[in-house]
Amino acid sequence: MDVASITFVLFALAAALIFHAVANPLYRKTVLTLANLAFIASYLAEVRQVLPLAFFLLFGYGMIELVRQRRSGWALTLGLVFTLALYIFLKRFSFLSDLPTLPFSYLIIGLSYILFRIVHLIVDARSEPWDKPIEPWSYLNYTCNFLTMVSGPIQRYEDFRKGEQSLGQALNADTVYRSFSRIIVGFVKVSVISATANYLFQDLSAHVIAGSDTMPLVKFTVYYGAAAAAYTGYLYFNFSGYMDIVIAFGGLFNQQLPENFNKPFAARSFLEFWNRWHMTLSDWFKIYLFTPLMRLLATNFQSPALLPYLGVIAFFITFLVMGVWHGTTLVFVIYGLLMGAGASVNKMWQVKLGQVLGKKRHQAFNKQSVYIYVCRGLTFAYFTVAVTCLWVDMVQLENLFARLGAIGLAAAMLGLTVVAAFGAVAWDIGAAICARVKGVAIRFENVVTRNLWLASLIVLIAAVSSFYHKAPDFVYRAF
Amino acid sequence: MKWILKQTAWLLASLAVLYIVILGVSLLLVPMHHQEGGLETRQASKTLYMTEPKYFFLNRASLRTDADRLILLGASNTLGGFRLDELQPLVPNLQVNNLSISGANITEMRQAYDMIRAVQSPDGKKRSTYVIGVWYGLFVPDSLKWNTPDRHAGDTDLDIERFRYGFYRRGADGPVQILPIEDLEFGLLLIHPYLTFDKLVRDVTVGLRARLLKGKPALTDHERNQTVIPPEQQAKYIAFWEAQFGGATAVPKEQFEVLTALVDDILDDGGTVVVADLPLPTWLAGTALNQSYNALKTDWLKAMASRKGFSFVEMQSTFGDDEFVDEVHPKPRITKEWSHVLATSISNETAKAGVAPAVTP
Repeated sequence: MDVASITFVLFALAAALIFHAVANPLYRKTVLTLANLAFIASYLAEVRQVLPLAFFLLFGYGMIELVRQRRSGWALTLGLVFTLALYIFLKRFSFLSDLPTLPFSYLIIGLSYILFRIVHLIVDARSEPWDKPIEPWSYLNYTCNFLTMVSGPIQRYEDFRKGEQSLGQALNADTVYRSFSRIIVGFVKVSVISATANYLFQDLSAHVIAGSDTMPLVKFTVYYGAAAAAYTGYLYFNFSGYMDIVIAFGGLFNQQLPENFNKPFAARSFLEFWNRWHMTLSDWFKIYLFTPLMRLLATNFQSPALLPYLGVIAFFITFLVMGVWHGTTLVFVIYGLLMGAGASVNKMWQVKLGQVLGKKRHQAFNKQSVYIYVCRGLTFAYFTVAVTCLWVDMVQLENLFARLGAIGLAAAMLGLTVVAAFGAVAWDIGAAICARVKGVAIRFENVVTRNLWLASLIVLIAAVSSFYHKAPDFVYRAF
Repeated sequence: MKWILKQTAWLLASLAVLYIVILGVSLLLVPMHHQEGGLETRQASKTLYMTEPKYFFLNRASLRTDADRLILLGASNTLGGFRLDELQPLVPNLQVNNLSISGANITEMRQAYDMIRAVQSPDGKKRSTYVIGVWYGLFVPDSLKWNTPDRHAGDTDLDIERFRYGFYRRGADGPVQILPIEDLEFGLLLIHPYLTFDKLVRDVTVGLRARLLKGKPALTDHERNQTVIPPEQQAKYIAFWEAQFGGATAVPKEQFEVLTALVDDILDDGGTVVVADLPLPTWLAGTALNQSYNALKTDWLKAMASRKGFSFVEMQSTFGDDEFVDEVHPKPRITKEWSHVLATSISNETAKAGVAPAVTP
């Protein structure tokens, strides 16, 4: 069941109505479990396809219990290594194609995000004072929450438990309206904006991927830049729209799901960008990879002068792993390297600039408008070039870089930076105007006008959807 | 639960009110049009439907009334070669409908037939004569033909129209009809604002799209008549069709099997079928693909010979190389002759069957 579909909306609305029919928390927990199971079942052609996933969940639970009971380093290592090994086996990474596989097709949807939750529980089982085992029923609802299973957001277990404790609460008119409103806005992002960006991307990228030897380099570079920018727009609006839909539905099930985006293109650096883009994934990697890595490096290299440079190394490794996680083929390793290079160069720049300018001048420099917009433009450009790896295979990437050459690539980066910097200025002006208009419009807000507004958005979604032959896939489902 | 139901009710009511207003405005801007006479997908761009598949899919309800009809199915050369205004006077006893769709293959023609028969009464089916215009380019296998990034793999252009407004949904075994065929006109009324909006957007952006897509302006009939195809352009056309077949040098049998089933179904419904093998320039007719097509065609005709109500018109080498605008489309000056050849053949067949001649000499 595709989350950005009418089927899902009807399913989730029906589940929400059944959920709120009775206020008893046990009843509601049961409804959630049934909704989760029904959602998983929608992906199955036969029952055995779910068995590997069920085994992975049971195995994960066993590892969490092992670590919780032993609370030792070896138990933690064992738990993490075995869980990761099982994940890698089930995920069928292409570089492990020689390994034997199960003799039938099975469900791997949501496996990555279930892994994140299990690893989080394994690690926390050692450090947190949990005196009782995790309740299996809550564990099932937490790992297989139909709203977050496919692509997040990655909720922390303690936040999920808080939500479980408020299962019996009643909704109010405002919460429901806000949920409906956000679901519809999510669909506008997915079905209108991302679909349009995808349409442009498909058209432009066909020329880029074909390589078109007869096309002059300048024109080819423009096509590449435009295709890459369109893909970035598609990726952002598709994923953030998806998040709007699931987070808003969470509200209808008394769940406070964490936010996953915070205006990423307002970021002034690559590192800040990742604090605004897929935030729950970034946080997860910060907690479970970057911080332990920094601790390990700081323990082994104790000179304070080295500390900033250790950060550079830790950022490189963290972003490399985060990039590689996106896919199972070689091109995703390149993506990881680009991510790692972006993060470490960014960190290095911050360190060096701070050393050269000194703290006060550095802070003042960071506040200069021109510098801010150039940094925003550069952040967008670098991310856009790096995510090229998500829409080409290795051979196409080699051909693309061969065709562009160093000059073409530099020109594309420069062009994207300039366009994005001016775009950021225009965006800020537009946002200020919109805020003013909203300030005036709010005076006319009542139950009729706000529902008419939502209805007009639905009409827009239907109209634009009818333009395109194919609704865009949820792009992050592939990762 | 109360608040969810209340909010849903408010939203649905707002949607209904808003939609009625939009529908009213849309109908005021572009009143509903009731088709008189035969259909011709070539006219699509001048209508609210704009594209040939959409014109066909949404407009076919006018075939519901019983009449003696000549229905042409094929691709763009059938559409351009047999113009309604030229063919209709030659067969005055039949209502001519040219429902060909550019870029079709036989599978899509089969779908077109199924969509037509869905609106026709049993008597209407018996009173229909189908002309199926073919050449080797229509025999591209489905896996190669309907596999582009902008569509679900396997969706033909007609499939896209089925799903576009939710008249059909995707099922495990193919499209599943949601809107009953009897309610097609009501469905048309419901989507009228979208058709209007779509046309408005396309009309407004026509200049911009032309500039972005660098499309060449359409040739006038005079320019078409003056066209000369140099050898290098001929080579490009040949290469294009080789690429369409995935580089293969022989036409696969797959689409001939679809054609057999199509002809048999028309005959089983009581209709008659004329398969017209359309004209080609010699430089295209000599290609390996066309040779293999001709070989398959010969075998196929032998197998079809005993079918009552089936006939075949050989037009492949009827016209000279100078009479083509490109690889398959006739120059405007020659289209009357295409129609005349076809009408004569239909007349001969009806004469054989003991029916009053349909052709006006």
